[in-house]
Amino acid sequence: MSCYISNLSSHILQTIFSKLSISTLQRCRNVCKSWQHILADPSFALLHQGCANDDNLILCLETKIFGSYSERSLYWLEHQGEFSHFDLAKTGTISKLNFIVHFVNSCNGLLCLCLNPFGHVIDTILCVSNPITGEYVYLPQLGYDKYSDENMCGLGFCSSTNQFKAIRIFFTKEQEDSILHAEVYTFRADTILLDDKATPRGFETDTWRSIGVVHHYNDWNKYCWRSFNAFVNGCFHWIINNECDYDHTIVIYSFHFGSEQFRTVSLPPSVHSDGHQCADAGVFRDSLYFSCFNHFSRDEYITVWVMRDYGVVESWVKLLVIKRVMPRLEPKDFKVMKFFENGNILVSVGYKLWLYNPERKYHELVEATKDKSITVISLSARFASIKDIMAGGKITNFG
Amino acid sequence: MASSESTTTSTTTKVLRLKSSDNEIFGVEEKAALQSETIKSLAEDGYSEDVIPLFNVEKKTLAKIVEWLNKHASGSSKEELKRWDADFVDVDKDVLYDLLLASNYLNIEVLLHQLAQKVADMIKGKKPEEIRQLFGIKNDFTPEEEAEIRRENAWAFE
Repeated sequence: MSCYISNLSSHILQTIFSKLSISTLQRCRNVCKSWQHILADPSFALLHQGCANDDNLILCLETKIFGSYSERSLYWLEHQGEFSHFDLAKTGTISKLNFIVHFVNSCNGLLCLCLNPFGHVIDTILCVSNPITGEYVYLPQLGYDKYSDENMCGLGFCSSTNQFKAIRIFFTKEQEDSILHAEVYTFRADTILLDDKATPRGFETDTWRSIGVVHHYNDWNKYCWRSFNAFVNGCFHWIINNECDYDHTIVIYSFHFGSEQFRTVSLPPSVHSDGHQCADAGVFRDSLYFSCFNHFSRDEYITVWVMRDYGVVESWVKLLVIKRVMPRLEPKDFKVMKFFENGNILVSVGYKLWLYNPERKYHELVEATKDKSITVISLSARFASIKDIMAGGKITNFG
Repeated sequence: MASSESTTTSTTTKVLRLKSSDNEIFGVEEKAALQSETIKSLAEDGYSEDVIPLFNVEKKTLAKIVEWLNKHASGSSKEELKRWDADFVDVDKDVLYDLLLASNYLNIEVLLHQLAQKVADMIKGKKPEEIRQLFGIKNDFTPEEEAEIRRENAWAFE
């Protein structure tokens, strides 16, 4: 049998590849070297973004615990065309047994994960991965006297310098007081450490740069920080609850990776900051969205807002209202994972996924996740290596 | 669809003459032929009165392409076209490759995507070794690289 397919130009092969799902493409990369090269080419990443019916991928992390043993699997969630019909295609396992693994956020195709040893919040490890190539790099660790967790870290991109950066916030205890510090790590492709198989493992420069003390919301006992997959307009976002306050007042807090400044983002004007304990933030078509419902008044509806012009409080518009019909809808538990073009939304509730049709007010459990306990994150597909992504910056810069 | 010195109908439909690499001439109505961006630009460059030479397409492939161009300019219903297209791409791998190369050269976007979809459907769900067998691709990874790939695929954090 002769190898006709190898005579096809890379443009034709790219057109063929653009019709395939991520799990199939991952297998295609292992067919031969020329396919591997074509799939690693930045121009393919662009084409795939343009052609694929879906450039926002959904990654699921399943954790199974058997006594003191835990098993974690990673899956791509692939839509099969019909309403709530998705398949899970296994893409990896995480064998760090003594750690709890959390998704933090995604930014320009890279995924930030946080690993905490069982039982305590110190010694938090941050890791950046491209789940498409299976590469991951660890960031330098916090010391033992510093307290942090997955809600205090985030990955971002600074478009003025074309660099990825990470922010982490941690507490130190000084006598009775706890003090909140912020540090930034700037990724540089040329400092990535490779092991003997040329696989990236870490970085040469191990210094997180202090950007000072965070003066707001720095009381460990009073404020609950929660981070979201919400890198928007150069900023990472948290929702901070005042736990002491009877009304559980909330604020949206942001960190801008360019100016390295923290700022408060105004809530939609008609949202009372009190009592909206169940809130979620994220990205809707390059804009920040915010969803909430009043936990205490047992609202029947969850409202999703979008900030059309970033930072402009008047630009908050109501995107949709979701009837609270899904079971096990707990506070802090509701997250929109994906907005589909046809208006449907994918929602994560209680470690399960649901597909909701706002028009018909109809929801359905995603069958593939029925027997699994999963956490979910969405990210854009980048076929390039971590090193190339960090060197090349944002996808639009490949031209 | 055989070679022709064009039609004898009284309509003023313009017919373009396409010449394959092995010198076979096909007459195609302009409306059908201009679905190819390459033919369109050659026609605009003044080849339209003359024979348009297509150096990269053999007659057996050009015959199939002309068949597709005519069908897609015939005003068939969507459903009919869908059925027809499914039959059209249901060919041997060799023919499929030739058609892919030709549709790429002739810049017929719709056809290229139909053919690419057909190949993608063949790849779907197969393991790397099965894909190699299907297309006769040589595995050029060294055993060390293969081991590395297997390890990477596990995406196993250590």
